[in-house]
Amino acid sequence: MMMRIAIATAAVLVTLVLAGPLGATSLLRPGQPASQVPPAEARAIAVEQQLLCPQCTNKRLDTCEIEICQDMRRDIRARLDRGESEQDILRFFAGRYGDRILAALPTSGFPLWLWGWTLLSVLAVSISGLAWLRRQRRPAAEAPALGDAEERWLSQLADPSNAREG
Amino acid sequence: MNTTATVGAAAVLTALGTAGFAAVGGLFVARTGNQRLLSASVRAFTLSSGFVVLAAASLLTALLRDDFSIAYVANVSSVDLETPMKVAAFYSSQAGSLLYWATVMSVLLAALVVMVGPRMAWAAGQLVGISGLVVTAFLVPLAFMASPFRLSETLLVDGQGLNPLLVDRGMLVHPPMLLGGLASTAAPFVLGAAALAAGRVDGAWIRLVRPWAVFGWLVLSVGNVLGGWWAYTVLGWGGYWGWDPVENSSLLPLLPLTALLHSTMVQERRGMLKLWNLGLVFTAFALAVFGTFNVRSGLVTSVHSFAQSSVGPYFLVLLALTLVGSIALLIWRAPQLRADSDFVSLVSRDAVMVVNNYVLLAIALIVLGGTLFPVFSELIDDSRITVGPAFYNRVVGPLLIALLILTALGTLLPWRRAAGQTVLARSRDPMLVTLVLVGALFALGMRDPFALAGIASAALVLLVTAREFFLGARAAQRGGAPVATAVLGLFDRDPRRYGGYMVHIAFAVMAIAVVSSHVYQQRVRVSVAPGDVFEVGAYTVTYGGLLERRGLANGIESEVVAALRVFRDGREVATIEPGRRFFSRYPGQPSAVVGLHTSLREDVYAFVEGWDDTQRAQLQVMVNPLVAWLWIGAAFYAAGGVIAFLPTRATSPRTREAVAAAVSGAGT
Repeated sequence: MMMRIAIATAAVLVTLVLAGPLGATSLLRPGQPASQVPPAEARAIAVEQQLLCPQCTNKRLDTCEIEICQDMRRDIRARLDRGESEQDILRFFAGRYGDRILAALPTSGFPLWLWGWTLLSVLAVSISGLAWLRRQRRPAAEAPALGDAEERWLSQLADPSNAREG
Repeated sequence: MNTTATVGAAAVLTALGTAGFAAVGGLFVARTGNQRLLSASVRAFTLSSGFVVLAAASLLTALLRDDFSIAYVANVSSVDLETPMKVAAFYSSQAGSLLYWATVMSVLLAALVVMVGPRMAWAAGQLVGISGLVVTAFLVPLAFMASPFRLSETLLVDGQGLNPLLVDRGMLVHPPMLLGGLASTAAPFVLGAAALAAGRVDGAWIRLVRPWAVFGWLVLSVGNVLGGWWAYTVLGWGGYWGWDPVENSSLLPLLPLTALLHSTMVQERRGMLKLWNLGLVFTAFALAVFGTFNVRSGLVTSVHSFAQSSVGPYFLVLLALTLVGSIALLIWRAPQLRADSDFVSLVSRDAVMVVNNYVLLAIALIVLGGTLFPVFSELIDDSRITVGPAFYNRVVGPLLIALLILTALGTLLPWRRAAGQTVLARSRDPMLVTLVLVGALFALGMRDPFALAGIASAALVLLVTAREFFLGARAAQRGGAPVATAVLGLFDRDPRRYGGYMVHIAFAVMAIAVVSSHVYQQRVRVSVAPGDVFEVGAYTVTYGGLLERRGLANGIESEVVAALRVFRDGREVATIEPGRRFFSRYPGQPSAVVGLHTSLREDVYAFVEGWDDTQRAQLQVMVNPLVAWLWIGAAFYAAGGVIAFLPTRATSPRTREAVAAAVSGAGT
């Protein structure tokens, strides 16, 4: 009973200690207050986040400061103002720079091979892992039984009266 | 004649010759057992590492003395660099970083040959022979393809200066640790290959390899974290890990090394996984060579591409030889690789260690695939696909959570086998607390499933590990020791186990930091005129205009920064100055200056995208939660690693307790 109470108290304490600073940060708020970002800007940012910088490696468009990226961001806003859809804009940039401009790895065409490799890696590793574990389950019985001499030797070892201190 | 260059180049050649002698001599000893040849080979090998150090010292001297008649010095340094930056220029380009690699590796291998050789007499020849081979292979490009001691073609009064991205104090620690870590994967490799070549792969080499594996793992881990820290504070895009191809290549060898630290424990206890452990040391080294090749070749474009050159193909050949050689050795010695015992209960720490190995292997395969994919896409499909962070986060994220859960499980379960009841009893309390915690976070408004799962599994690791410390300390306390002594005594009694637990705690803390900063980053982009006020997260920021600074050291012509005052709840918490740095020698390549205010809770992080004549500036400001805990966790990780690296006391605990009892008995 005491144990339970101790656990419950500990749980509450840990929660408070951990959730205190977390709660105070932005962690528990579901995002920025809507008033801060105008909806048009939010849409533009959403598009930027799906594109990469055409020059840097692995840098998302919304975090890159070089000139091309600033131009691209202006272009995105102009296109949104003209009423183009998110997909239109992504397709336009993919047409101009190739699929490599898309932040998310496409799930069609050649990139399917990488998805396949990923799936295969996980599968191969899981299967060989499971096979290994299965092998471990079988064999205890197959191990050769100990001979008489070995049994005697073992029991001698186990017998404390035979222990010699050095 | 330039004396420094001559000494350096001669030292490299002599080192190459002596290492080559050690290679041939050692392998001959392996066949004949000639003891005089053995000691000659060992001496030749230590001598060779001495000459490599001499070559490194020559290059360092040339850099410190601004000897621009040496082409390498003229390319990477200049008169106006401060002394620490001149030191950092050593490894800032290809030839120098190769020399640094070779230096770390040959010193480490010389230590290995001298310290471990006598304790591994059955493979002493193989040990020095393979060490000699590896060092020779790395000295060849230094002597013939990318020598840092070539002379300048024209007489120069000043050099070109250091690459702007590298002008940072972080450069004094991040590259040496990372390159050193990559180079030190050679020691476990040589040990494993020597044991295998000698045909004895029982527990002996496993016990000997441990400190060397821990060393490489520790240095490489610290190097990776420092790389993240450098990216965060210097590159200026608000993150610390971008899944850049070169970042990936330095992470890759760490995965088999981490796996090895766990699986060797299984071999030590059970005589299993012999082939597996050899495979891991071979893989770690092959991946380290791959990393070096990847940086040098420009195979995959990256922020690190400044170190590219023509030695790429050489390293590709070296990589192929390492792989072919390793596989051939394994096939040749396959009959010796049978397990001594081959039974393990599914519900045991042994089994969890194996599963953890498989998960690490899966991560390595996926990261390797993603890193190489752009190359294949260009070769086969003629479309240079970029594999961005989105892919890795999506795929590696869940595997990271799996690793956390396995960490908790492995700590809970005993070795060999466990009764279901024991497992239940041990896991009940931690599970309960974790559930309460997750419930509380959910109730407080956290909804992201990845964040909840990540934080829950990390919390489980923390609780389970804390429980181990608690139980261990309580047992010690029964002997009458005070709490602090009892906890500290655990590290003394079993540094390997409790140091490892400390690393687990750090891993969990870092995971929480990564998940939080990834999922809950807040970001605004603003265009502001002096005097404007804007908000980001819980902060109010005022922009006071641009400041220009001149007369800075290290080739910086000027620095333009935006003065930002950061308020929280009406109180000023910091002034941050993000901006750009302009270099007189690299006019087109300004580098970013990050504005950063760190607290335990969250970082306010700012960078400047641009400005105009009216001082209107485009800024990005973000709030990154809990990032400080990533660095705190890393420090804890390193401390735990150092503790685990310390040798366990030779005496068994039981003997020591008996002695202690006898002593206290004599006292009363």
